[in-house]
Amino acid sequence: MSRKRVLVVDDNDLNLKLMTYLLATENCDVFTAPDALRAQVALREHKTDLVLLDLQLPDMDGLSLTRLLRADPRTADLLIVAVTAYAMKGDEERARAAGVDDYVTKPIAKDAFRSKVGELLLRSGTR
Amino acid sequence: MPLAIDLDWFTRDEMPALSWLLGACEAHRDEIFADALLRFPSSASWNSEFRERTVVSLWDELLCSMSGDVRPVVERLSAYGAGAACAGVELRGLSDAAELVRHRVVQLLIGCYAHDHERLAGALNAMQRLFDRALSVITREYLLYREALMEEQRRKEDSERRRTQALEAENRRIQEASRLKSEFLANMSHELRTPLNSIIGFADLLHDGEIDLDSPQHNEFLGDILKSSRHLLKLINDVLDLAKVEAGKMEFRPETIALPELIGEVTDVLSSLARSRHIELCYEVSDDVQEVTVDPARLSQVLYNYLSNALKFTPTGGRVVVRAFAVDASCFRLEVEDSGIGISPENVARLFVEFEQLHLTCGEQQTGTGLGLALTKRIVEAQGGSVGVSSELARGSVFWVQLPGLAQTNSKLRPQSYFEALRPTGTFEIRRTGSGA
Repeated sequence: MSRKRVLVVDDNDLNLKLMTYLLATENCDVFTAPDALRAQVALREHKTDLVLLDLQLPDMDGLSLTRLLRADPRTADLLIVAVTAYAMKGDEERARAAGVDDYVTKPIAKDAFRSKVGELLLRSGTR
Repeated sequence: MPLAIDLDWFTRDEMPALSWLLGACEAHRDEIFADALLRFPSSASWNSEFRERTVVSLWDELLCSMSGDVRPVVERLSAYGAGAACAGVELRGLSDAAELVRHRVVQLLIGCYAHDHERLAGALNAMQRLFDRALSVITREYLLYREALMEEQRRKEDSERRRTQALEAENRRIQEASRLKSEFLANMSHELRTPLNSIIGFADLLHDGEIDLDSPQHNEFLGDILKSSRHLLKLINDVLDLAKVEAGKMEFRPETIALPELIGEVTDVLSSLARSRHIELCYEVSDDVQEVTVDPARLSQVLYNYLSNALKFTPTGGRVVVRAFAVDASCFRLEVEDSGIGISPENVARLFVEFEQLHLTCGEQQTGTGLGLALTKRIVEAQGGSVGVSSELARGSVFWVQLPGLAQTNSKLRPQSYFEALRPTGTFEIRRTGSGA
């Protein structure tokens, strides 16, 4: 199986570092972006299998970015998972309505996070 | 009915006619009354019960006034006019009633004096004056009362409307407060989870033995946990402080202190940070604010906040200046000026608001809690002061705080005279002793 490409978008450097480390042991290459603009640039330049997206970014909120990506034919089928500290009632519904495929709340649990990403990457091969 | 005719109203010649008239009226009272009722138009806008009383009363008033003293009659007529207005009787209905009674009486008089034209004329004149008088009194009182009634109604509606408006405003205020509270809670949940994510994540990795004890990564991750923990602690402290000020529970302990010393202490704490980024950090304290009476811990907190923000947003090689000066006889101002990136006008409004961190990319990771400026504003306002900022993009910002508490020992603001300029400073300085101690 070929290596998968995962883009992690988060404005907190420690959270980026943690997620990068957690995914390093999986069968994938991890790239990061600290804001929506750089995430869009990265997605245009490289074929990507999965995006882990923080919902509060400095330049744009994650839901708007998701809608933009869904509207673009090149990224319409992209697997997008919200990884966010927004854990109040209604947050997940709003995110799913905006078009994310899955929703993970921070603080993340190490093993659950890895298995969820692994499972999603398997799914991404069949899309 | 005893006759005591008012001589002002009727001439001596009219008396006999009048006495006969009274007798006739008395005898025909029921007849006249029944006739009046019959001839009222059914479409009249006043109710029948009142109409009946109108006629009866009019008749009674007439008889009373013919029998003597007019004053009580006028009083009763006044009350009668007011009563009519109160019952919603139209003025036209009233005059109709009076006219009808008059008409019937005139008919009676004509019937009785058909042979004596002189007496008839006298009686008719007297009758006419009596009715005019009665009607004008009723009309005037009616109009006055009606006016008062409408005024009262207007006042009631006005106060009702004002009360409704006040209630609506209060309702909106409560809803807005509730919305802000929920928003604050959602933001706080988000802000607390963010550092917790790295604390739990890295601790999880270390605890499960995924990282070798001897590897440099082990120590690095421990450092990351520490960093996030400190951030979390700062966040919790800020939130608690904010809650304390909001609940009015924050206590302020003002004391008279030397302002230059306080500013020096705060800048000392931040001087190594400034040096490491080659930012010039200095302060100027004008003569009129050498001593102030404030809570030193809270003022330090405010100044520290402004200064750390200024350093955060000022590029390497920039300059940050603290200035202190008197505004008037009782207030002084502290300003922190930076040569940083500045803030656009639309973003200025978001400063001083909880969790509104401006994401100004300055090449450096934002480390604040997003509560510093909001807390500063609350703390200063709770002490009767105010905060503000003026800023220009790419030029820099000036954050200021204005507080009461200017000590009276400072040299006065008035322009120095030649004599005063010669005087060595400090010669006439008076130290306040034991103030507040």
